[in-house]
Amino acid sequence: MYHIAICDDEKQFVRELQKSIYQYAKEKGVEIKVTPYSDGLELTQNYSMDIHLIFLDIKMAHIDGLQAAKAIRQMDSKVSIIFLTSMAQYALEGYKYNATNFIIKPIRYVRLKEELDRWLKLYRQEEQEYILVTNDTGKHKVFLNSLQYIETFGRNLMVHTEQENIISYRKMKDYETELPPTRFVRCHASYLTNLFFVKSVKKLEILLTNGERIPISQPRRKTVMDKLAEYWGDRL
Amino acid sequence: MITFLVILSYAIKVPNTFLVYQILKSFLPMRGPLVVRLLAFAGCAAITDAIIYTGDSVNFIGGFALFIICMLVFYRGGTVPKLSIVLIIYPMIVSMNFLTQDIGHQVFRMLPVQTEVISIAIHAASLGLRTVLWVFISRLSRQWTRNILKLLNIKMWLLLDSVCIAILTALFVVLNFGSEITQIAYPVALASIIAVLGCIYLAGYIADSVQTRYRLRDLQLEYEYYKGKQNDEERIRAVYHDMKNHLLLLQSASGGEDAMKMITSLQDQISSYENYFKTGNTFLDVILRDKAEKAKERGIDFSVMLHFEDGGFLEPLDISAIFGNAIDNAIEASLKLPVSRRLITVKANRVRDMLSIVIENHTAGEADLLLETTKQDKLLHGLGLKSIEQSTEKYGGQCSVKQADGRFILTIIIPIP
Repeated sequence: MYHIAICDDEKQFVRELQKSIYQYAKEKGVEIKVTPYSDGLELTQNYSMDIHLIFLDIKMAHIDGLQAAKAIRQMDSKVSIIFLTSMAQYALEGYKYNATNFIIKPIRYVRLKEELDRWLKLYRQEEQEYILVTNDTGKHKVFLNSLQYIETFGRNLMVHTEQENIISYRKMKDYETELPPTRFVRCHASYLTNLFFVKSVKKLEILLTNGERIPISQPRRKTVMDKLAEYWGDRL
Repeated sequence: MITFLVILSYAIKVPNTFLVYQILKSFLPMRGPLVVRLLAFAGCAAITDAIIYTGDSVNFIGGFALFIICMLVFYRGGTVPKLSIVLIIYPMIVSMNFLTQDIGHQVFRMLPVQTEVISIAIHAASLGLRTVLWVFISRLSRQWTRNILKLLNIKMWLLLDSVCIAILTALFVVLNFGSEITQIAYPVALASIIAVLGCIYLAGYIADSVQTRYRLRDLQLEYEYYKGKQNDEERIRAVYHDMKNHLLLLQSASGGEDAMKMITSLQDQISSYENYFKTGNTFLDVILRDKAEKAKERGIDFSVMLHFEDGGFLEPLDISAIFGNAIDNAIEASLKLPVSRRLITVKANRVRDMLSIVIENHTAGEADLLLETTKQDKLLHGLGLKSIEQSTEKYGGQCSVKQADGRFILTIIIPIP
């Protein structure tokens, strides 16, 4: 079940948006609960951590949406925020608050559907949290958001995570199929890299956020760039 | 047996003719009616089958004349391109026919037994050899000569003609006034085929570079337009600012009720101007405003979230190539949908040391997804896509295109230097 909050001081607008979201839930066959808030303070003071997505109006009476977003971000870094506005000029500010988008009111159904589709798709993509790596020291739970890359290590594999390096006796091909293809790229016969940790791409080299360098083989460069473009494109 | 071979050799002539017909069609459009097409095909058959022997200038010149007449009568377009095509293709036909025929003849003469069956069989084989060569040539010419007619000017055609006339003359002289030993003409014929292929390639190459030049000029024009608009924008912004302040002042000076009403209404009206974009890159702001207006006029839901302060390393020309083309394509594709489904999303931000850009629009949904429409959409997107590609690859970036679930998504990633 997904929990969506709407925070706007225009009652009429909230009612309509709520109705549209329920219509979307019915069409898609997903379970969605909507909680309306009429004010930024009301939302932030009794903030509920089980909210997945917030539609947040920028122009509100007591505290404005941007301030509210700041307060929310301090409590919850994961929740998705979609700003509602009547002016296009805020476009620049969105990323400061890690917003999903800015929507200019009034919202048309086609836009709402688009935003929810996109959000759901990404949310589901992130749902797989970890994989299990088994070796002679035992079973290791490796969280995907800390798995940086896997490389061949002699006749075995080395799984590099932010915390430790774990040896694995499985084949690279196994991991390539087990790990979500949208989040990992086989940039080289001996390397499988998590796109999240790619800081930059040089000609035939990936620079990771931790400063390490990973080679790209020439024929795979196009795929690497394609996947990278798509990965971040989905998350913009 | 003999009848079979005769029928076979006639049958082989059909694909040969068809291939030549196709090659000609790829250069020049035909005139409309079916009758014309049939006549053109018949003409092609006669020309393709031209029998070339040494010392037989009548056939050589006759075929040439027939070819010119066919081109002039059956095809559309200017006289110079038509004659040029004759000059390009005819040496090829002559060389090829001469070579296959004469080699066949020589082989026949060397055989110990010489019967009619063998003679016809060799003839059929030589025709088959031609088919192989024509397939090869038509492949190449199709690749090289796209849009050639529109892009080459008279000067370029004449340049090609000068080369082809040399080839044709050499062929004519060698074939008609050469020695009795026909093998002497082989190298010339072979060289002619190669030279003609070179000419076709050259024509394609020239056409391609002309096209690139046109595209660059278009971009330059667009760039100038936005540069001009940028100044306007700043002026209007200043006026807007003053006006807002004046109105506030007037409001506080408290006039009559009518004056107040007027002030409020004016304030409302100019407030719509607040719909300008601030992306951190002034040049991009202007482009977006322009495109947003265009999109809104067409009932498209247009949403922008852009943080482009770090995009300063991109040249303005490339910014306009990327965003201008991508949004134009998206708008054009949206127009094919009912208003309720028209939607465009533009997003861009710095992620780590890279610039990520997404431009997305709806396309015909799964229900009405016909192969033809998608093809057309791709073509449509293809026009601007080339220059988007060029602009991103210049910075070591890449753009990728995905069409799924009724959406067309263009994603771009560019490393920030």
